[in-house]
Parts: sequence; structure tokens; C-alpha cells
Amino acid sequence: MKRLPTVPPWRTLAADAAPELRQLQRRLFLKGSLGLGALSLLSGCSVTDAASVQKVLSGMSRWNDRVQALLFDPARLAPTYPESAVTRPFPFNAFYGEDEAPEVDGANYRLELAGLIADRRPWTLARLNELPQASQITRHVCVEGWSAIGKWGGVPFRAFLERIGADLSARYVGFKCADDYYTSIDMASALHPQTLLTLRFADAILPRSYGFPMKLRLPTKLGFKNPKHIMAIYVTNLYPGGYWEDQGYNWFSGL
Amino acid sequence: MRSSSRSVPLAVALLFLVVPLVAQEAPAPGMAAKEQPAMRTDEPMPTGMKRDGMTKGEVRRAAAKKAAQMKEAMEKEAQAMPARKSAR
Repeated sequence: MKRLPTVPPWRTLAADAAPELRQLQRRLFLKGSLGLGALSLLSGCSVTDAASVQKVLSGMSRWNDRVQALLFDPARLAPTYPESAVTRPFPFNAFYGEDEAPEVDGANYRLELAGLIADRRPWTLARLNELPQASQITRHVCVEGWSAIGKWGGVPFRAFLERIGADLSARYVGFKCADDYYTSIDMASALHPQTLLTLRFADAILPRSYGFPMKLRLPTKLGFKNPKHIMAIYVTNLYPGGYWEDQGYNWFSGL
Repeated sequence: MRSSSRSVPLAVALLFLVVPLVAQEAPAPGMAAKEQPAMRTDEPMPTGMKRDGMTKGEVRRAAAKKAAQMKEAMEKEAQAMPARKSAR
């Protein structure tokens, strides 16, 4: 199994995630305050008009996405950690209880492909496991303000996208999951060298709690951009949003 | 005159930068005595990644709505790209 290289500190996205976590609430508060301020100053509309507030805030969030996309360095790697730093037990987190996590039949599983992909034939788990694998020990950072370090293994997503003939110039990659969750990411993040189509956790088959049969792992984005129990992947130029993103969470959500 | 007209937008911008910071740091009246429990940064919140009143059905309905919204446009988009059967 190929191990991704450990990154020198000066090449990491952040020296430590802790300051980022401390500032997260302040940034969100600032963003909201500035958004409302800009709204009342620039548009002159009433802040009690929920629809117009929502429209302006959504516009600002999309602008924020574009700025984050411009600042995103596809060659800059997220920090990696030694085995001793792995959080045990790794926390479970979802919009349902751990005992309610979807049960996917691995033997009959087929990963569906759609959109701007040349070869849209579905993939079995066995075929996915035959592809070259890599592993990484990285920090999962949740939008709620907690983080944990885990070890994930699987297929580098870039290699998979190339293999299926995905249009790598398309703007978005979308995911549909067995628990009905859905999200999407930008193509630059999909092609990042640490973005992994995860089939294993802690050197074992990905457990049900952590997203069996497959989870997308992006150490360059917040946790809700790391979909679990993936059933379908599609490539598109149409903005696909996501469950939390459609509720107002920032779509890019880079770290 | 020119410098004062320039300073007005600057002052407004500063106001929106400084006020949220001050408002966040200063405790609200009557809240000073209450100690907030320290936030754990190594484990999820007790509620999990869930909003108040959020159900699995709500997520299912949102996913179905999204799929319906995107279906037609995505099919048109995909038709423009000819299918290829690569060797596996």
C-alpha cells in the first residue's frame, strides 16, 4: 500500500487546527454581522424580509465560494500525523444515531456513475479494491468545532476519476449516499492528491459507523463535505449544492 | 472636503468590523456570573450533526427534490458527452 508522503511543516495548510477551531465561531459571527450590515447599507431593503435577506446572504456565500476557490492551492497538502496521534475511539457523527447508520450489502453493492463521465458502468467493491490504494493519517475537522485524527485508506480519487473518463474540466463532483445525504465538491478539490475514495479505516474494512462501503475523505475541507455510504457519483457543470449547503452552510468549506 | 468624504465609508466599514468583535467579547447584561462549560474540541456535540427537529425523512425529501431539479439538465449535459467503454 502506497503511503502518502509526510509534509514538512512549512508546506502544510495550517500548523495546527486548534487556532482555526477557536476562530471558527468568530468568523461565522463576523460573516453574519457583515452580511446583515452590507444588506441594510447596500440594498436598502428591510432585514425583516426573510426572502431578500436569504437571497443576499446566499449571494455572499457564493462569492465566498469563488474567493476560496481562487485561494485554493491544489498542490498544498493538509498536515499528516503519526499513528500515535490517531484518536481512539474515533467519534461517530451524523444526523441520526450510530445504531441507525445505513446497512449496505457489500456483496450486491454497485457504485453508480452519472453525468460527464465517459465510462458510466457501475463498480463493484471487489473491482474498487483491485485499484492502487493509498493511506493517510489526517485530521477530520467538523463545522461544529471539534476535530479528530483518523487513518483512512482507499483509492486516490483523481486516479479513479481518470480511470472512468470523467471530464476533469467540469466544475463539480456530486455524491448521493445511502442515508439520503447528498453533497458536492469542486473539481480542483476532487483532484487534490489527498482526496481519497476511502474503503478502509484503521487498516480494516470501513465500518458501518464510518461510512461502509465508501466514504470520500478530503482533509482540505470540513467534515460535512466528506460524504459517507456513497452510492452514486456524478460529474457536472450544474451547481449541485448539498443538504447542509442548501440550508445555508458555506458550499466550499475549505480548511 | 475630499478626505472627509473618503473617511465616511471607511468609518462605516470599521464599524462593522469592530462592533461584532466587541459584541462577542463583552458578556451580555446579566450573563457575566454564568460560567459556560468549556467546549470539548475532541468529540462531537451531544446532538450530533443535527438541527432541532431534523428527521431522516426531511433529508430524504430534500434529496428527492434535488434529484428532480437536476435530472433533466444533467441528462442533457451528459448526452453531449459520448459514452466510452474503457478496458477494466
